[in-house]
Amino acid sequence: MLEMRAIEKQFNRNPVLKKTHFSLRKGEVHALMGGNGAGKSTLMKILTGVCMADAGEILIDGKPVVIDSPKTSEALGIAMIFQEFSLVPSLTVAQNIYLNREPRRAAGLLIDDAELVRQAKVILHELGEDIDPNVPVSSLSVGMCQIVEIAKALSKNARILIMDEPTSSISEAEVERLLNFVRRLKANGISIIYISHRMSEIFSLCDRVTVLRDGENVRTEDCEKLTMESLIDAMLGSSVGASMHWQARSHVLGTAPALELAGLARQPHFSGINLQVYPGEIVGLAGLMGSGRTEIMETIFGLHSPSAGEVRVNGKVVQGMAEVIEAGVTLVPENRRTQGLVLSHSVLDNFMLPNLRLFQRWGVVQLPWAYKAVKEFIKSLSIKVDHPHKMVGLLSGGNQQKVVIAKWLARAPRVLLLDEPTIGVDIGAKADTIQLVRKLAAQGSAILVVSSEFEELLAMSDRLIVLRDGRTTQVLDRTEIESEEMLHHAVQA
Amino acid sequence: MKKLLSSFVGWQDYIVYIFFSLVIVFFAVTIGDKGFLTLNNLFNITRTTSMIVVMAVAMTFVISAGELDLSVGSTAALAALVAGLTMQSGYGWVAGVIAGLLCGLGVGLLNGFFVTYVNIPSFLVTLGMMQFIRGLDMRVTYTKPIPIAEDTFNGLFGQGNLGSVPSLLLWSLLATAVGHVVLKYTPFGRKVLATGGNRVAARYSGINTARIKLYGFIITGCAAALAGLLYTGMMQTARYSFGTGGELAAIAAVILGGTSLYGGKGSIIGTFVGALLIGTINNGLIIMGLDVSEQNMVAGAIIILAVAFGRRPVV
Repeated sequence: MLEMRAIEKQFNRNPVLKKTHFSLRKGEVHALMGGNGAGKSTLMKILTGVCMADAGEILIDGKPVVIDSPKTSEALGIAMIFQEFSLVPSLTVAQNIYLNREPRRAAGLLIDDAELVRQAKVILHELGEDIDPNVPVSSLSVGMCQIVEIAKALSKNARILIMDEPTSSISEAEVERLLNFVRRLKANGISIIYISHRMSEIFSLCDRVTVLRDGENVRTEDCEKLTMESLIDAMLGSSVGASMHWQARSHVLGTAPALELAGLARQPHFSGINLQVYPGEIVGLAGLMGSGRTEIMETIFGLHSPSAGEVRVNGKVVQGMAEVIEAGVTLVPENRRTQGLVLSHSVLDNFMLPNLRLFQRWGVVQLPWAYKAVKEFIKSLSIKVDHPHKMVGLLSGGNQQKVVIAKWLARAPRVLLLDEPTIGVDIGAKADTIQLVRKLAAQGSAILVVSSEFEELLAMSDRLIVLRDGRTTQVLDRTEIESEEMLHHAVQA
Repeated sequence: MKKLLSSFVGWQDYIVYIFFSLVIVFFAVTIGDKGFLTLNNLFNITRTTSMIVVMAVAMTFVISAGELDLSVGSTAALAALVAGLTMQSGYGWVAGVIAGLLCGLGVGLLNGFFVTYVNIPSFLVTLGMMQFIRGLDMRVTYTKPIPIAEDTFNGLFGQGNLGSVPSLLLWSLLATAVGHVVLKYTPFGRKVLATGGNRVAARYSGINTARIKLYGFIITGCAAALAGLLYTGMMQTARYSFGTGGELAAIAAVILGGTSLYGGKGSIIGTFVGALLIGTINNGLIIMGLDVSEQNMVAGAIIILAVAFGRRPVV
């Protein structure tokens, strides 16, 4: 019922989609897969009218259509299901489903709330969900919010639903409920585009899979004909730069662990984490989104207090962020734009922020010192910026990331925590960052890194901790891992 | 502590009623014999708070939509002066009322324009507007008061009674009733709540959130003008100083009444009781013999406490 043919799209003369095609049948669940930057989200943006394709055509029920705005997309029966953002938390379930389309009474002047609740009940009942239409959305879990959103979309006669990583932030029990819900939708003739990284879900739910890589179609196949291996192969391809390969270490590791986690837990995110990282060592945390990776990092850094266990740095127990930082631990957060940088400030200001103590005398900031230091980092990290006074927000993603790392390097961290260090940067900057991390390890930092990109983890890590649902399932030495496939298996299982 | 508090499900929604009851009991016990509990004094409280009620009811809409209007106090004075001048020039009280209300409409349009179309945060727009209009108020008559000789006007908007009920009380009840129905039962009210609760979601549901906010500012502007007329009627004079601090009292009443300062959730009845609470506290403190400076301190402290105990936004 849906066909996208030879879709092309460029951003800043960077081709993101190259004659990409995609089709969807009535009552089909079609998985869309690919790594970061493969073009999945751009393709969906074109379908939902958020942006327009440069070339190519879209057919619905065999007729060509032009989708030039979210409104036309909606009118064509296409709906994207967001995890929670498109509901008003302070309004009730019923009020959200019929927002701005409420049944009226008193000659259209007043909202007929009784009728509103009745209609909401009907639609929720049809969907086989017993959610009380009178409770505010803020009291629902993320999984329930998605069901309410789907109900809202269906009440507007949506026929094609796009679900983007619907299970990434919901609990295991809710995943099952949601998957069953999707199966019922499918049985009712609703077509679903399902974007997910979780192989098990895809194999249990989807009819067909399309894999994109660098904006090109790699494969479209019936699920039955695929194995996890062939799917992983299709996603990864073989184009991996030289710096993305693991390099044997020449330096010697320290003898006493720089960072030690003993039975660290923070309910309900993770528990029973035991880990030692030695000076000079790079340890990777591998796991899917929602496996507790980021929470572990943040807990080590003292952003959250653990519910059990302790963190030791150089053998000393540390508690709370101030102590952690004092002990020489540094966190490069996941989201550099909101957590890592003040975008409207200059490179210099951002660089100085955590290091003000190093650059002051008699309580006055000594700008020339900081200027000199930042110049050195710009050179040594090859950050592309004309001068240190340039606003960070104007830099490219990769260069921004380097500034984030630089601002912490000035203090020569003993322990460096990296959360998705290369997210959203291009391949060149990625290689630079990896090179930088290796150099830091060689200088004696103990490094713990989280990444969704396994090739990157494998390129850097001496050891890998495999996490699932907040627990360590495996500890693998780098030499034990023969291929990326093996790691994929380990985290999916 | 947090667990203990959350076990009283929804108690924060009723905080204003709890506070109000406590305050009444407190004053009844301490100064009940000094005239606090007489019918006359209770009517007095409702009279002096009616302007705050009117402004606060309108403010509930703006705050529920996630914005703020600091200019209501000075707008009230402007409307009072314009109405006063119109009546003084012999155009009659109806023309005066219309002129005053038009003033409020104009200010509301301006505020709304700058917030929604020029995209300046409402806090800044209305802060500037508050200052600008207060200056204008002083300029209009060079701070000279304008006496009002229209008895119909003074009766209707001021000291008069309907039966034995003060007309000022009727105005505040009317504002509350209309506000309650509009916020709770009309499509417009629902759109206001959606706009404040999640603007993106509201837009995706086809709501013109900019227009909703603009209407909100028009409502506060007109309500401020009405409040100005009520001040004028009560004092039988129009003064440049009317409504000074009224914006803060109105905002405090709204927040005390359980409306979320972060938008998305509002209660007009709560606002009404919040305004009465503030009026009652002021009245009680006066009877106790505290002066204006001390009243201010108590009122400020209560606002902070109420917000501290109130609901936080759902993220």
